[in-house]
Amino acid sequence: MVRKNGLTLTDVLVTVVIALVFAFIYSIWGGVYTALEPLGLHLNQLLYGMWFIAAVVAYLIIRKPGVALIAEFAAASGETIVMLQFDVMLIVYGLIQGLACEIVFAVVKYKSTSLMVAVAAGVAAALSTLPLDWYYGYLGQLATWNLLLMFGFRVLSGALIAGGLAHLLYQGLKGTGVLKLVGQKATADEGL
Amino acid sequence: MIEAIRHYSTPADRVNPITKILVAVGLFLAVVLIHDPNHLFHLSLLMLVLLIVLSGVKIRYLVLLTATILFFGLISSLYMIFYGEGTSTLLRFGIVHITEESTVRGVHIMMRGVVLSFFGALVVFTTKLTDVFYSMMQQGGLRPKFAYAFMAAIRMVPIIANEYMTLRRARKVRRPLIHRKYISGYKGFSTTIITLLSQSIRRAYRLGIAMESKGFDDGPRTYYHRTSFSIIDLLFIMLVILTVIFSYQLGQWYSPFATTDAR
Amino acid sequence: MAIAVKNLRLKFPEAQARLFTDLELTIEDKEKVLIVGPSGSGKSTLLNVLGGLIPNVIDVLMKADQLELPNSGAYVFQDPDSQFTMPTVAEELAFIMENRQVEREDMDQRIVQILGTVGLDIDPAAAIHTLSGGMKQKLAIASALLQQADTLFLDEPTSMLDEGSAEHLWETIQQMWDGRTVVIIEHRVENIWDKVDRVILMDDQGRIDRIGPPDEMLENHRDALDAFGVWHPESWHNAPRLPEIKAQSDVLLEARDLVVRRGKRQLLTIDALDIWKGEWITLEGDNGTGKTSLLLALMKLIPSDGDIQFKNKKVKKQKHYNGALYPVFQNPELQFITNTVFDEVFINLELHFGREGAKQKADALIERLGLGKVRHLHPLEISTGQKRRLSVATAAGGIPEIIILDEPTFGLDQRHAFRLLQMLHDMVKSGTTIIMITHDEEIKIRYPSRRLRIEDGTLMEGGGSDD
Repeated sequence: MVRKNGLTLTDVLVTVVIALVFAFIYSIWGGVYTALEPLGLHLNQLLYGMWFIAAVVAYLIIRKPGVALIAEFAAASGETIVMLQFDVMLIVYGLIQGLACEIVFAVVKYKSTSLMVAVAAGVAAALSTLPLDWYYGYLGQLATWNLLLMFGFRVLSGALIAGGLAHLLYQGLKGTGVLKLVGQKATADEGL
Repeated sequence: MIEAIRHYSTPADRVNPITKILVAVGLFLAVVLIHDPNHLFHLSLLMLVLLIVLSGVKIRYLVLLTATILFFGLISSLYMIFYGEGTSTLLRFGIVHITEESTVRGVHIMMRGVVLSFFGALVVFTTKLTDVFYSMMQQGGLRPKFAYAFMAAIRMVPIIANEYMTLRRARKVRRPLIHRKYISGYKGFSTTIITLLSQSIRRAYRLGIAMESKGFDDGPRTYYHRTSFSIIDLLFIMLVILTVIFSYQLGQWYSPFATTDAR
Repeated sequence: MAIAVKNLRLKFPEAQARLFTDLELTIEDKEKVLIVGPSGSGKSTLLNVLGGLIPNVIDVLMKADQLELPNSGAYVFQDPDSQFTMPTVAEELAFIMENRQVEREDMDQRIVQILGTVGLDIDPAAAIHTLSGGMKQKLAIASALLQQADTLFLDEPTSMLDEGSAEHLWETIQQMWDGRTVVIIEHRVENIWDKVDRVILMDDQGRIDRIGPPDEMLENHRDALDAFGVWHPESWHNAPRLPEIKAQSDVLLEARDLVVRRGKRQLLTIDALDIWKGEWITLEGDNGTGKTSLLLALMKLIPSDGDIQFKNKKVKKQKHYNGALYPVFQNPELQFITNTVFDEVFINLELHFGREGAKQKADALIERLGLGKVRHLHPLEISTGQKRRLSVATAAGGIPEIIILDEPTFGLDQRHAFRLLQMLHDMVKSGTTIIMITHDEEIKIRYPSRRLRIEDGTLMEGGGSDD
């Protein structure tokens, strides 16, 4: 029997589809994100984790190197695909966040599906784009309390949404039996 | 869908998608490095001109699009206008502290977004999605399994949207019969996502098998759509570079902002 | 000999038991074979082994003492939505030629040619999602032909099609199957039964129960076919004979001057429609005429003009029905919200009958619809037929006064389809009104108390001659 250790076509397909489902959900519920912006109090940052939840969910399901990066790229281009808006910034950000997740998953050798790993990846992704935001959004020139608020909300969101919620959804999906079809499978060589 | 709102095709259609994406990345870097709001002001205007001329999209749609881009650009920069640091106060209201400096900075951040959005719209209007992946395979060395997985997955987006609509209807009908706790709040949210994901994963799995049963194997292949680089790509790159430079010159000549450094 | 399998056995990861025991099968070159069997018999798995998908593509552990497979096989699957890769017809067909490294210069001409072969008269640049179900399956056949396979594996190719399209598709398949080995799995066999060389009946344990020429199977082994609940051309002789029930005298639903649109196009205009208590109504009409839209409009799930009254009260919003009008959609999985089959039925009854009462009622319904074995499983995990039955179970608790069903017998085997019809009859008898969309001629002539049909953008009494 051929054992495929790299990413198979189905792995990539499932990863991209997961990301597009989230992109779709984001496109209908994303209005909330915008609606929270005008106060300038960064309440929208509480939903920041939605941007990279797909990477964590796809990893938990497939557990192979590269999945988080592909998921993030797909989620970021998802806006182009779902809403016909091409935003290069989103794609650059998506790739950086995907890489941040990959690093966390590589540390646990793509084996663990624990909540802690999901949370760590969520926080890593949340922090990964801060340097770029610093330059792009002149965060250095922001009132300190406001900056800390943004920082805190973002990390919290990474942990709760991209970590916690992703893990809950993964557990829920496991219950539906669909995960038997995909990802790293337990070997069942005995019994024939 | 896009073809319906266009009234002519343009040379931008023939620019290789890879070129467009790389230029977009370059433009992103340029915009982050530009601190002179006058420069950015003219760059936004010139980008709008490029969008109008090169997209071939009917003007009323472009007006609508521009209004949307400006609106969302503005609200995403409010945090800086309201809470940015500055000395010459314009307005103070509770925690809100609007200064001249923070306003200019806020508008500067907004214009960054606007420039990228205009260019992004130009790319969307002049690029076929399948061509992006075909050129990434032919000129970008992307492995076919990634390209075709993307194209196949994109086909599923309308199906996902349809399923979501049906799911909403189905819940509407069940709502009067069942206890709220099964359907509202987090429970409703999570079961919606889990159902959509579960359905889509199952479908993706079947599609993966179907694709391989049709002889797809990530090996060498021929291409139905041929893409290539041409002189048009070079002209397009030059055009965008010249636009960035020329807008700088314009900023020297006519400066709507008093400062030349938003920082 | 095209295919020879001896002592095949395999095991899915995470499964406890192995599938197939001593499975032995030979299929001659250019033979046409139909495989039937109850769900869970492993028909699809067997087909995947014969075409080499297992173990090359699907990761399943498999062994056989002898395994002779065709050099090249091509598949047609049941669900059009999960077998196409590309957005347009030409690109999809080109995808297959790209895989085979056909030169670009040859592609266009071959696309035109293959579309002609399967009788698809469409613009190659057409988007696949604009095609009807029947056209999509023809495209799938065209794709399979482009693979230049000597063996075709058809995995329920017509299960998502209405009767007319299914018949038409089988004609197309027969026109091109000379010179090829063809292995078919199908539920709805009336169009194909007597066209194949042999019929293979599998039991619910993954064994081959018996094999024979179609007429002999029908003559000598009908009992076995019936015992496994498999459809065959004479299935309807076993159909439950149900006395017609007279509708009661109270009008439940009245619609006046109804106008239903799809997008900007006016789809349907209906001057008057009355629905009475205890009616069993079938709704007929060709694909795309707006059957589903009409029902959605009656339920107030899509906007429409006109006046709808339920029990003499004007209905403006869906919630005004307060659960008295309950639909069972064609995609049952999208109606489920809980984590077990039992809960799915239970929560619909809980508020009305109390915990204990609801529990008993739910148990009874689950048993009646043959879902006892899967009551603890997740609703998304069970088979398509089981899902469909489960969605009927959620409607059948006795609270809704009108139940709307969209193709309720689709994909059910003979046994369960007949049980379902019996159950619908009992519900009508106890005063529930049933409105159902069906394409099944046998159902239309046997059971409803009234037939409605959509033609030329309006609703008419009486059935159409043929679909």
